[in-house]
Amino acid sequence: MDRITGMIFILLSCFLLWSLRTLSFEAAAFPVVLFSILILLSLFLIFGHWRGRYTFENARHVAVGALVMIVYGLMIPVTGFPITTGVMLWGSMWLGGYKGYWYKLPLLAALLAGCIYWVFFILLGVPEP
Amino acid sequence: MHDTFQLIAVGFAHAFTLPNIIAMIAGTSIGIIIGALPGMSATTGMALLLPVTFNIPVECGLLMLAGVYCGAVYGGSISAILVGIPGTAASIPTAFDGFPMAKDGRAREALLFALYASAVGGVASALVLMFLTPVIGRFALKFGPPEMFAVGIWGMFMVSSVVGKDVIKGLIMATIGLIVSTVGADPVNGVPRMIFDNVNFIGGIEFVSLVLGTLALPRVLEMVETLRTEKVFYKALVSRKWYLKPGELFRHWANIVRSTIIGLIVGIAPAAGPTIAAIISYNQAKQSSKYPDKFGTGIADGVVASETANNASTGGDMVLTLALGVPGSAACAVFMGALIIKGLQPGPQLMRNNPIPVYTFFAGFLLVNILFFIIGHFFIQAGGQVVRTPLQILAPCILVFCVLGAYASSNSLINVNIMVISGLAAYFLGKLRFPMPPFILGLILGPLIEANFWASLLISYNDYLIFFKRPLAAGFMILAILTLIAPTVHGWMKAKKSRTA
Repeated sequence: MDRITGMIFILLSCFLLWSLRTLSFEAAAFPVVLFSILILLSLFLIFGHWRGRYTFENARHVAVGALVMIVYGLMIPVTGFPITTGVMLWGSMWLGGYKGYWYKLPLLAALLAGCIYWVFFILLGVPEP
Repeated sequence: MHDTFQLIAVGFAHAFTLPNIIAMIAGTSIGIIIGALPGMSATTGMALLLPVTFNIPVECGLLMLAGVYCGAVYGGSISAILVGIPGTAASIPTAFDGFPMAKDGRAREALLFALYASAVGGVASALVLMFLTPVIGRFALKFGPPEMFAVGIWGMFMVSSVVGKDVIKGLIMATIGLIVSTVGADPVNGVPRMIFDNVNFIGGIEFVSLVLGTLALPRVLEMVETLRTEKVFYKALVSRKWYLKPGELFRHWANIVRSTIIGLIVGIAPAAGPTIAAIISYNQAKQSSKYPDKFGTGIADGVVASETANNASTGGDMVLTLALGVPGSAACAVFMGALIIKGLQPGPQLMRNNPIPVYTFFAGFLLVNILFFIIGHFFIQAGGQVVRTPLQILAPCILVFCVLGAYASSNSLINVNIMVISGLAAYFLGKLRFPMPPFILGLILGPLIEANFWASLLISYNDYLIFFKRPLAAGFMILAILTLIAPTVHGWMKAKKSRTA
């Protein structure tokens, strides 16, 4: 995994270095030096010692959690903050295995979403997304 | 001198009026809450409350904003300790030891150390503000681009204290942080770099989104890892402490004194601020400790060093704003706006032309630091409930606050997307044992280093030795070199000692 990560860093560095080729000296100097350092360090990573196994615990739940994050961020402009947040909280608590009567989850989710909405968008006046 | 004491007495008399006391209590309480919310900084809190100050007397308004500022700088430690997500950037080092303490069932102990350390640092900075503003104002003028570059390099060499066990991976993350900080317009000519025609990134990638993404979202996913398993995220609370005994705090007296001095000095440097003060202080505490390996595992020393320094720097920030009319940080820029709106022109003439409001503010600044010490005890008891909240509720709530924090920083949903992408990348890299703190360090110090490097060359006609020719800059560069080689020398001396033993 370290070698793959090192190779990805080197490829990204080369691509971004290429994007800097038309810039002036002052604009490109710092990034070029930093990318050079990154390529050198990535070579250490690729040719260095392998340090044991990496484990991803409970990968299925983490994948679902990541999906919830992505969908939540994408749905806010579509369905609005209060509804999206309420549904996300309800769904997350249910997926997480929160135990209780069937009406507790939606009630708790609605209450939390409502409180957060009131504090930020009404009381503090943050513009709604 | 006699006049100064007279003015201080008048200042306290004005500060101790009912409207001002209510303003300070309200500002401090709101500041602590805002500081504790991930993504909500002192700057955001002060900006949100600025309109409230339009309709209240000038002293009330300024004291309320001072309460928000000091409260928020302390409040960042609450979420840093309880959930490992710094509420403000200044509490990033607090999380290194505070969060392990909370996971170990010692959340209240960590919160109390943070509160007491913050109060000591804050009171020290208030006293410096009150008595030494004109003197420090003149000293602050000596900080030019070469000095700021040297401070940035010193801060960057602190990376040795946050890279963790795998040095190469730590250095890679620090370099990536520096690279990400270069995205956007370059500081010399304003030429866009690495934005690929996306005008949203002309000002760079939003700092708050990246901090929330790299520090907060992986924490949420770690909580998700333990759901529906036997694994325990937080151990049961081992004590129900309400306060610290004097002996418990005085044990850390050397750490507190050193961190206060670091905070006061770094706070005076323009644009350095509480974050850099906290990082430098944490590193110095680690290097001076008899047990440096224990830092990061959950010891009070790390929390004390970080919190003392970040609150000690608040006064220095204010000195620049009041005495020179130069905001030392974004929060002070908001404060300066409030002064101007109220008809007070910050700068060298402020204290001469408006001594009563200025000294009322100084007195109030001291009172605010004492107030958050008192109010903080109640927040600690409430905060202790956070670790008892079921993770199925806590994790999604943290996600909501992170989204709000990323969105509110610039009212753009693009920052939410950046936060999610960087969060998933950070979680994955974290599993491969790439540490995130060096990335944040690079992100914070990159602009300071690059901009001041080019400015230094400009004012010195491309003299690369300018950083060693100016005494203050040379002093910081020597400190930086010593910080870099100190761990190696320390390790060599330790090995020599064990060979001879």
